[in-house]
Amino acid sequence: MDKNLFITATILYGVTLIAMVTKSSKRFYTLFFTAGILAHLGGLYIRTLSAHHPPFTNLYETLLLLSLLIVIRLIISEKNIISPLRQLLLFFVIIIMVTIHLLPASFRAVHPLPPALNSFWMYIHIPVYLCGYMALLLACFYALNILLSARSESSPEIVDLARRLNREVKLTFFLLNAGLITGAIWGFVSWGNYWSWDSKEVWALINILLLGFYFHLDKPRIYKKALIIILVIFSVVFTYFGVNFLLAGLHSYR
Amino acid sequence: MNAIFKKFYQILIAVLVVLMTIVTLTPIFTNFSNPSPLLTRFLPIEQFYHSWLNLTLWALICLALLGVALFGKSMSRAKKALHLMLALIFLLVGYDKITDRRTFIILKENQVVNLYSVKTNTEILRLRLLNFTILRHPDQQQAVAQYRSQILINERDTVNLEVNHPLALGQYRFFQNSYQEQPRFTIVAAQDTFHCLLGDSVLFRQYYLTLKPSASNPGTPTIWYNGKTYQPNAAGVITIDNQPLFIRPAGHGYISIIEVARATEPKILMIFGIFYLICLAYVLWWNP
Repeated sequence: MDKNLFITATILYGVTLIAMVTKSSKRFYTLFFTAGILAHLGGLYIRTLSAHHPPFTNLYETLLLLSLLIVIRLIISEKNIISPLRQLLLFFVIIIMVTIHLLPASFRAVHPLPPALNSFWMYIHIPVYLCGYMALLLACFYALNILLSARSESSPEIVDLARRLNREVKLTFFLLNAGLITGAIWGFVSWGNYWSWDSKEVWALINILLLGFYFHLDKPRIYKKALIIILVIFSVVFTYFGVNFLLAGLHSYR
Repeated sequence: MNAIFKKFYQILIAVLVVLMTIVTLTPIFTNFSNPSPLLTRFLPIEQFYHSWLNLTLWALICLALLGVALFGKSMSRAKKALHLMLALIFLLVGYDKITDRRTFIILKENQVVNLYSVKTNTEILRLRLLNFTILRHPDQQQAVAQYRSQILINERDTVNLEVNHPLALGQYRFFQNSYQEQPRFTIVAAQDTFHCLLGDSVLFRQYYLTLKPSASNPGTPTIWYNGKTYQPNAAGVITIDNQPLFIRPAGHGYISIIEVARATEPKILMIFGIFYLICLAYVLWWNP
């Protein structure tokens, strides 16, 4: 049932995107967008009921939640996100949803909550990180926009993009730090260890240290900052996927 | 002065990030059972996290953060507080890692484990596992939802220990780490009956009789006694010194694995963490 709702949501997002690109009336694509979000939310609700735990304990569920967070951000910050980026983000959400549907059945199966995750810290640690990833995604798109435009740093468009990039990076940095600290506290409550040099923990720290460069440049030129964000997104993608599949550790929840 | 600290930070972090990246990615490309001489001779990658190099880098980072907090010029108080809180967090976690005051205890049902202080050479705690319970999800393939050790402390107080619900006893904290399920056997001799798990040793006559797993038949243990190995026959009988012993499977038993830490109070990290996040939010949005 939840799978059907997610497929429906994906189709509705696709129709919305086509409507946006073909510059249909705002009422038209808002209707499809809202229906898509409701289907998405409904799917997550049914998933929660069938799994008896919130939907962020494995890769499949976190990707679903991440795509929902992006969509919610599109609604909340509609006026603050420039139009081409809104369409690009929605396209990215569709790519994520299609990828999710193509995952093997073992990834999409409902798994019971293991004892180590049965803690209220899970409701703080994981959503905080997913919100951080969502903000970083927006920052990445702004950074790419800056790098691919051949304009001078003082041009109004670049200045505007730099301001938006700065806003998203601040949010990302704060959320990644909050995620790391809550993770350390949860680690102590579960295993008596604030920090166990687990692969996921190390890469989460690498992400924050790299992002720290953004705020500690000698000559903070916008192109340098944009390049740092691109580096960070590669690091975060490895943290999210690479660590789970290529490295062993406490966080290998597929 | 700020430029010096900034450059110091950039170099330190760059070195640390590169090293941590190499260390985490090395298992993908290296066969540790046959490592290359380059890795083992020049860079102890397997033990990097506990090496002097890692410790030095983090010590330098803490010094740089403290330096910025104390001597940073034309820097707002909020930024100084931010760097100070971060240094304190690193120092707290570093102190916890360096002292590494934790150990594992294996508890079997009705066996007693005594914890002694090395300093005072006195008994601190006596633990007895009364019961080990596994709670299962009712409708999810009977998967494990939680596991609980019922422990008798000092032959007086009974407590329950679960995952994510640690137990604080004085300056020690006990964590339910994991468990093992082991086959249980009943050994019947002429006048003795023993109930034991695979791997247990029991005193039989004047020597210890140990149950070891059998490579050829996983359901039946191999018996080790007085330097000799005995394999039960099809009826589950072995003969030791003309005394037949009957070995019968008796279901399963559990071994509870508990981690004991004499660690810093987590509330300190919570307080440091909250202050750090407040300073960070203030610096990022209200006082950039």
